[in-house]
Amino acid sequence: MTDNLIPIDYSKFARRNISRSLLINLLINTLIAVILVAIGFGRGFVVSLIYSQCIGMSIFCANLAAIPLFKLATRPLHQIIVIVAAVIIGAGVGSFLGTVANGFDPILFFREFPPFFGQVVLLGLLFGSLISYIFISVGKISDEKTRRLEAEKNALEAELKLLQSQIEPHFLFNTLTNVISLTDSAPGKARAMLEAFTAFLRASFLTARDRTVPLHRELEVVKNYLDVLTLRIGDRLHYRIEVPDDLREFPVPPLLIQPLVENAVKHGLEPSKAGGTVLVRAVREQDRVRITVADSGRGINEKGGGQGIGLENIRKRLQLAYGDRGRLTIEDNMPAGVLVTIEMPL
Amino acid sequence: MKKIRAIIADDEKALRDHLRTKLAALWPDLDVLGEAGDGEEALRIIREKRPDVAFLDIRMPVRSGLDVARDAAGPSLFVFVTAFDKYAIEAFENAAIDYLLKPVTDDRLKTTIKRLKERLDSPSSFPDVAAALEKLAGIRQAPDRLQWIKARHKGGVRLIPVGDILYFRAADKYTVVRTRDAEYLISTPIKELEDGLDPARFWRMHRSAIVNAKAVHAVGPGTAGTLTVTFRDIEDRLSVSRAYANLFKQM
Repeated sequence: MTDNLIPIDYSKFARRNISRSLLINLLINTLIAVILVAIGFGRGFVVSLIYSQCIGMSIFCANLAAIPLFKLATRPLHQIIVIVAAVIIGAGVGSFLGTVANGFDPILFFREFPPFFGQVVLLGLLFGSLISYIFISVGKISDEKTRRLEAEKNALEAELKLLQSQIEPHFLFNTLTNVISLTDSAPGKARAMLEAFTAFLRASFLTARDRTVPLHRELEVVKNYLDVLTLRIGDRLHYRIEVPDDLREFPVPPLLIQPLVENAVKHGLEPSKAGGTVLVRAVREQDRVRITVADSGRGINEKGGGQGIGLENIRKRLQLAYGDRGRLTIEDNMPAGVLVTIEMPL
Repeated sequence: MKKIRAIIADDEKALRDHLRTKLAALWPDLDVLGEAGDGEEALRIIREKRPDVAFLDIRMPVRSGLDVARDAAGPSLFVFVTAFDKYAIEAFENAAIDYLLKPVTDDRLKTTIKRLKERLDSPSSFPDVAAALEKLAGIRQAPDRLQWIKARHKGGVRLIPVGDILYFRAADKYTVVRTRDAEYLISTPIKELEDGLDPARFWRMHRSAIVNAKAVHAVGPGTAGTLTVTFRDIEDRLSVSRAYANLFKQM
């Protein structure tokens, strides 16, 4: 489906701009009358002006009257049919009105001057198409503008959420508490934890500022995050990150993988007494890159919530960056836990 | 003077040690008789030893600190410990339940100790933890709604967030689950799905179909007085039967 076949919200536009459209319509009608006289068509300026105004206004009114029908027409084809019908009716009525307004007897007139009548109808259709075209194209421009604004709004929202979710408060405060508690009992370990945490903060701040980052930088954030956690919860957490050398520089939207790892820890491993392993892996396929985050934790309960929002954000950002070619899927991991896959075009 | 008996539960050992050290310095009469690394263990120790005070981390493996307090139903006073939990803290404030924020500071711990001592002197002043927790549980999670649909797909089990689903449609013995870019078959019947889904988001449109109201692009006239629903991202059209038309007419 191409873009110009998307139904246009024509009614909203028409209502909002009715007085402006009316003025434009008057001007165009006058202009057409001038052109007709200039090319020597018709019977003088006044007659042409009366005709053009009558026909133009009738079509305009017919278009307005068609607005309720427009709302019902969900498909582009139906909208076109509605417009064409409105134009034909408007042109017919306008021709008749113009004839009467010019003081001609319509019946006699049409009988005696069929060629002229034909020309009037032809002109009416020409007019109508022109005016309707202007109507629609302006409507479409505003429609496209709305779409673009919508997309920009989504992008900003996603970015905002990204910044907000960058450092989970639980992670921040639990880590700081750990550092504080270790300063007396195990200063060496406290320092190691603080160093890992600083590295995590630095990497995530650096990463979040760019539109895209090389994959290895994003994974640096992941590694620092997991390092802090390993120092904290010890043996319950194991991790492995596997990236082929030729994908290290592959550009990815920032902080796309880190939240997935955070989910795996928060919903999969932390709630499990035994803990488990997180495996982050990037693979190149023919025309795309596949990144998987697998954990061996508790798995997802169909009624368990929590992860939905973070995943929605990631999906939105993938779509912003790659359209339909960016995908996020979630599966049960075998034999336990969750497997999340991101696919991006190469 | 009788020693006050307490337990500490937190999944991170360093944090248990930290609290224990601080308590030892500020409340010498307190006897910490047990430590737990997860909710299950905490519950067991509380039931077994019936401490006067239980310091419970909220986020713990197996059972959360809140669940432990709810299930313990003993004579203990509970002090919840959390790094960050906006809703819980609000609930605790409202119900005068004791809580500590990590990192725990001496000043804050002193205040808590003072309050605990007062309460232990007059057991009738114990806050109603059960009622507060019940209220909190209500805020935290919607009643047992489906959040995910599990569907077999290419030899694995796909997890589909319900928000991604455009509609469910019955087909023979199966139900078709339609998302923006795929179709899945599941064996759960429409009726059962309807009971598990949030009725504000998922509308029954037909005896054999449920639609995600958010995914609907337009509702237009269909054949024989029915309504037809079109979607934003896919070409599919579904009809609304007369019995369910009312909701859709307002769209």
